[in-house]
Amino acid sequence: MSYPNYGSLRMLVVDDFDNFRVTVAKLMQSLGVAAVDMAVNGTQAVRACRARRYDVVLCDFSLGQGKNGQQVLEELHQEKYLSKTSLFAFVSAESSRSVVLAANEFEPDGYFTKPINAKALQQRLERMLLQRDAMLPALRAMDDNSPEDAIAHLQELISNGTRYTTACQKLLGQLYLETENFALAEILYEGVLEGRRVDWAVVGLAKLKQLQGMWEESSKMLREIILENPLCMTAYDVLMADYERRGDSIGLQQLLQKAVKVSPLSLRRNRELAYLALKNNDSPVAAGAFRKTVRLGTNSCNDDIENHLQFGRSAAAVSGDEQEESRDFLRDALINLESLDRRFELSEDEKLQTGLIESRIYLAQGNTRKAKEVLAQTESYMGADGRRQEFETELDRVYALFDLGENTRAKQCLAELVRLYENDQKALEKLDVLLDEPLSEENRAKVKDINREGISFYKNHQYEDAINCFVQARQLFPNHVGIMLNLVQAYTGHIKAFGFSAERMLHCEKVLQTAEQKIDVDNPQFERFRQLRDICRSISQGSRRAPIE
Amino acid sequence: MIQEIHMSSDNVSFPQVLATSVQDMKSSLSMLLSSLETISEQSKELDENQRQACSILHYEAARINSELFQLQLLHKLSKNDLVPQIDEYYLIDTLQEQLANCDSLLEVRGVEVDLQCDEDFSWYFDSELISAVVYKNLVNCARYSKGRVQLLAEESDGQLLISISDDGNGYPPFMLEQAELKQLPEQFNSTHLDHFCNRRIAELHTKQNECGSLSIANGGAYGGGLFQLRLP
Repeated sequence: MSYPNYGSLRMLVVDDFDNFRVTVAKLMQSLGVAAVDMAVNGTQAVRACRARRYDVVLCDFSLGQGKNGQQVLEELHQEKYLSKTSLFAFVSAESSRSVVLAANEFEPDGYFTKPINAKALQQRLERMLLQRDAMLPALRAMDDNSPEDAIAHLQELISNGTRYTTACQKLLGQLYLETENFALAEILYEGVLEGRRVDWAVVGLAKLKQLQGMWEESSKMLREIILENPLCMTAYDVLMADYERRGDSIGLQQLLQKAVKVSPLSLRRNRELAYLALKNNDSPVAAGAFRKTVRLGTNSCNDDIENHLQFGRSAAAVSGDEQEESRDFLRDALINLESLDRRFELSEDEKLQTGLIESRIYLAQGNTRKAKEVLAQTESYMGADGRRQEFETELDRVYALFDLGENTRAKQCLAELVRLYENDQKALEKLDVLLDEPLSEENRAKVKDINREGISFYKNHQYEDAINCFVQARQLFPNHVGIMLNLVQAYTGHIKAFGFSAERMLHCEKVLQTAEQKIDVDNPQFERFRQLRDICRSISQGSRRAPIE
Repeated sequence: MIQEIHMSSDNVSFPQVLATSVQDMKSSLSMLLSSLETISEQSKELDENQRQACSILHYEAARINSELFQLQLLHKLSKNDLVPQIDEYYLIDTLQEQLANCDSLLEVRGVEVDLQCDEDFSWYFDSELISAVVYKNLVNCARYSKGRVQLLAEESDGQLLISISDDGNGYPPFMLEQAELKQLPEQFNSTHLDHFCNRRIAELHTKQNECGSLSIANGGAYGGGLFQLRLP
């Protein structure tokens, strides 16, 4: 086996180690490679790939300061600097699972582990090149955006018998799905699976079932794979669509948390988790995921100021329950915000938002004086230029005021926001969590759905399910009196049916207390509140007289 | 097995420290091996003593490499965290790759390897794990064979069979006995550990009710040691 076309190849070697770069370059020259370029860091690598097309890029994973190899590949993909006919391989001493899983995220053509000697490197390179050349017509067709041609080439290759059948099948399956050739996709995947159960074919088949609307069957297959092989990251990604379809944002968050635990270095999934947890009002998870998003985003082409601001917001929102964790979040978030203007060109609103969030963090750290000072200072800039602030900025102000206990002003600002944005659903969705009852269409429908579900559990005496349902609803709409009362009723139902439990009673009384602060006699729900309060009191008293185990 | 040892001063766990150190050691080893390669390329100009020293360096470096992999493997096994990543591979690719990895070691020790494997023979396995088993055995052969090794892969009774045989003195009786043990004994040595890891790797490969197995014996193609790995 020897590769005949070295003379026509253009290659890029990326490594911060002179030694390795020179060794590889020498080897390539001895093989007769036409042109070997070098890059010593990620930025140089990206610049080189933008300037010209390479047949092969060999890239170390850790590249010292600046971008790492994964971030290089991420950017090359995103900017489409790599064509389908180009080969990209990592050459790295990093063999830890998290690094390898993260590297695979962007589907490199190879991952060569150092130590690797000249002979082994040459061998693996040649194998990659021979495979590419065999599949070249199909790859070119994909570059030309002609999936039908690519399919025809791959079918021909497979039917003529090729050494690269598996690689062709993987690609062909994807193309069938993209072009909605469902019948052919099914034959392909089922055919592969007849030989042996391999993850990629099961995931492909599950994706096909999704596209055909067979959601349950598909999800069952995917859950089985994850159980058998928790490292199969594509299974998580495909399964997510089912949660999205059902609007199960809590379940989706749990799935993402699991995926992120398995593959902790994925920027994309951490970011998805962060925004989802934010939506679910799960501040500790949001803060943790935003912190990782910010860290992993350093030097990435997907670094975004919004992630940094959200990290600050969710850190400020983490309650005091998790003292130690919360302290860490606050410290890191503050350091991060203070360095923002060095990393980004901040707009006026972003500067104001930074100030408002910093004020909240100071307060959460127990530094009320500094919090007030920063808030006052930031507010003095607001409206100074006669311009109206962006929605997000005003919202940050509302939060800062509430945090500081300036409830009257906070409520005024909130009411003003509701008035200004009454026709903006996206804005309303963000306000809903602060309001007694949601105003956005989406959240109103959600409350209705959850209540309907919970009440039906309650009516069927499935009190545990009813409690879970309303607890989740409360997390989404913490100020909603109706949900609070439903939850109290579910607790009392459980206690009446299954006996007294001190823990449940404690939860129940806590909710009742919160409701009491929200509700006054004019509220149409007041009578119901009063009744439930009486029931709870009599349960408590009864339990003191005759404890039920 | 490796226990979770927590360092008293703070929250650092020993396995974590070890994992980081192993990473660093691998990087260093990578540099060491590449320097050794450079020296070996000039080995024709070296005198016999230098060649001898070079050969020892090669062998020991390869062993460290193998041991480090095993350490990582044991760490994962102790956490019950080793899931084989099965895909289809051509055996010739996997085997040639491992031969290439110990190319200079085999050369300085004057070992000829006879590779017997059909070009188009493929099977389903975790390439990283199986490669490590083959690599480790080739390094052993480089040490214990007199100069001839046969590396063979074929289908046998519906399973993949990888055989590595050499023309050395064969396994000593105590090793053949040890290989029969199903569990690690309380007092174990490094051959116990090697065999334990190899067997776990084999057993992690399952298909329906079958799972992989391995055996060692004396005799084989060249009358020395014979290592056999079977995968369903």
